[in-house]
Amino acid sequence: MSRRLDRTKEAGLAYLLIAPAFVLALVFIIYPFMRNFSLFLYHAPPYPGLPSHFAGLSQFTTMLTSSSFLQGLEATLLYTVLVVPIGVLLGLILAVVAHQKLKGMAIYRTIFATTAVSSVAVAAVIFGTFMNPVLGLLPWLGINPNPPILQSPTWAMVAMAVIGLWQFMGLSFILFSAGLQSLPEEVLEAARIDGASEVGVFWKVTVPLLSPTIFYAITVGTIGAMYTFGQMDLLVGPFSAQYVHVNTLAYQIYQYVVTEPNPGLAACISIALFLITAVITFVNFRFLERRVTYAN
Amino acid sequence: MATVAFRSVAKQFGDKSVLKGLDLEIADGEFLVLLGPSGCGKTTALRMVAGLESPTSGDIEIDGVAVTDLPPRERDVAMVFQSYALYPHLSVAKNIEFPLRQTSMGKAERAAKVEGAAAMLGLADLVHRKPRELSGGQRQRVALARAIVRNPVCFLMDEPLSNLDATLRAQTRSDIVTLQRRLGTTTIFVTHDQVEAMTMGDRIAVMHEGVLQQVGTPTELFFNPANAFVAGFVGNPGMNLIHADHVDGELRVATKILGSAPSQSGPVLVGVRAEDLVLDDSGVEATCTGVEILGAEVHLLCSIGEDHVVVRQAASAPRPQLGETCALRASGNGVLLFDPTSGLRLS
Repeated sequence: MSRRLDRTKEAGLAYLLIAPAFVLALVFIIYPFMRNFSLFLYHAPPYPGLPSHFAGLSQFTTMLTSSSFLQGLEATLLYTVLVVPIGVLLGLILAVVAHQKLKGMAIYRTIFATTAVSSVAVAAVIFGTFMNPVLGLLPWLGINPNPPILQSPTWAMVAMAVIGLWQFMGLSFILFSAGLQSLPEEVLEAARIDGASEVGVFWKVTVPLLSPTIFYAITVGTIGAMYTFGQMDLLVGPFSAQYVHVNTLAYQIYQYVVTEPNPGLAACISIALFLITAVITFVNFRFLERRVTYAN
Repeated sequence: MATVAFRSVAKQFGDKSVLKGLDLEIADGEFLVLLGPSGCGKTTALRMVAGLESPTSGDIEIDGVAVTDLPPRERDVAMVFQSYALYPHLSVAKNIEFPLRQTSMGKAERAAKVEGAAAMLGLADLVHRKPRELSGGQRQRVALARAIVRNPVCFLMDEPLSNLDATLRAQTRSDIVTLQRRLGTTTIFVTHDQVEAMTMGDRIAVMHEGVLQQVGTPTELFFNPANAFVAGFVGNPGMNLIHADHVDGELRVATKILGSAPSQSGPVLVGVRAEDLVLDDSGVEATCTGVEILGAEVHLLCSIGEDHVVVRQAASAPRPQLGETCALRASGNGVLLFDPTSGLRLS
């Protein structure tokens, strides 16, 4: 009897301990996620208090055929393709450089890692200053593109990607630095004794051993890139974004919630973005994880 | 195959001196064991031959040529690590092939050599497996196959048996010796296990605190240790070392007589093997602190004053109970004398 009582008490304590985390998840994750589906099915009014009516899948089908959605999808995918592979590669190269036992490396490590913890607002201000057509670094260097970079349908996305890359590179650098430090030193030494050059050791041993980190960086980077809109909003703004092709899906969701409220359409795009990200992540797992070697 | 030599090799890590002027020559085709406790510098010495560490001073020579400044890949040595250090992303066959792929050898020749090495180590059925799918013993054999496949001038083995269980260790020990005899490749084998050293090495180099204590055959080290450290480290159990006074040809502890030795005088450290120490009422007083029953024989653990000794006797012989007082005497000609301060051999 007393054992049962003890067990009940123990379970009660366990529920009590997880309650704060559960409440937060309920309010900020589970409820919004479920609410999204209700918004998706109903044509919600732009302001609370007005009546909403059932719309079924009509909002979703309208969205799928709209040119702004397709352009947004294209912008999102282009941004991801520009940021993730280069960010992973640069993070790896910087981590390898910082891994060398040379003097002053701690300073470089700190500098490289800083970009990961800088907010998008800071990044946007820095790069916005560089690209300012009057006061920026580029005119100072004598480079005056016309139209200015942020107003150019060709270069605006590249500028957005450079900012994203700058931020993602820091995260990628931290991940690879941790990965390099956990590599079994004896395996690398064995390769050197077995006749491999330093370049050979890197490509034939270090990179395969880092494959779990590479896979993780690609997966996390892809998911992060798919949901980017900060620099688009801060440097381009909702009215020019579509014209210069940086109107990513995440930015469209933001616009349909804040600038021109249309909760139903915002819910449809967010569900579409969720499904697209899920599919890409699944493909990542299905095809990339096969090539990953976990040490044990 | 080649000779390997350490010429006054020293190594400092910061303020710590881990190797102090090592001079040692390993003959062509010899199986030399570097033996010593943890931190004695034996692994550092081995890594210097591999080129994984640089000496602070001195030279490493392979076949009479200084290789001190050569990178590992240009030394043509093969190393087997304690952790096996297999490439986890490659199959057994690819692991064995790895050193060959770093050369200009053709595909067909590589395949033949891999097949030969795998067959020699009994790995023919496992070549498609990944290291994580193998047992510790199988991984060890893959590491050995990877070492032998390119026919290096020297094998370097860094405690390769430490991660194996007792039965497998004994088996692998004899497999390695057989393989080395068959290939005739110069081998340097590092271990802290004196049983491995005694059973495997043509010669053993005993090291302690970065200094080479003695080099010799297992028999030489066992019967003629150069100092008290070698005497206490080599043999299972190591030689008993008892503080005594040498008076008129007798070795005395307090007023009792432990044994006799040629005329000398003053305090000495008496070295007696466990089998040469016997229960004898006329001997020195000791207290039984433990009994280890090993089957046909028994190890009595006793203390004589501050010194702890082991007495080996037949299981059937009468023995004192735990905590009981007994008397011990050194018998036979196995008594060796050492300087109690320097530890150097006196007799």
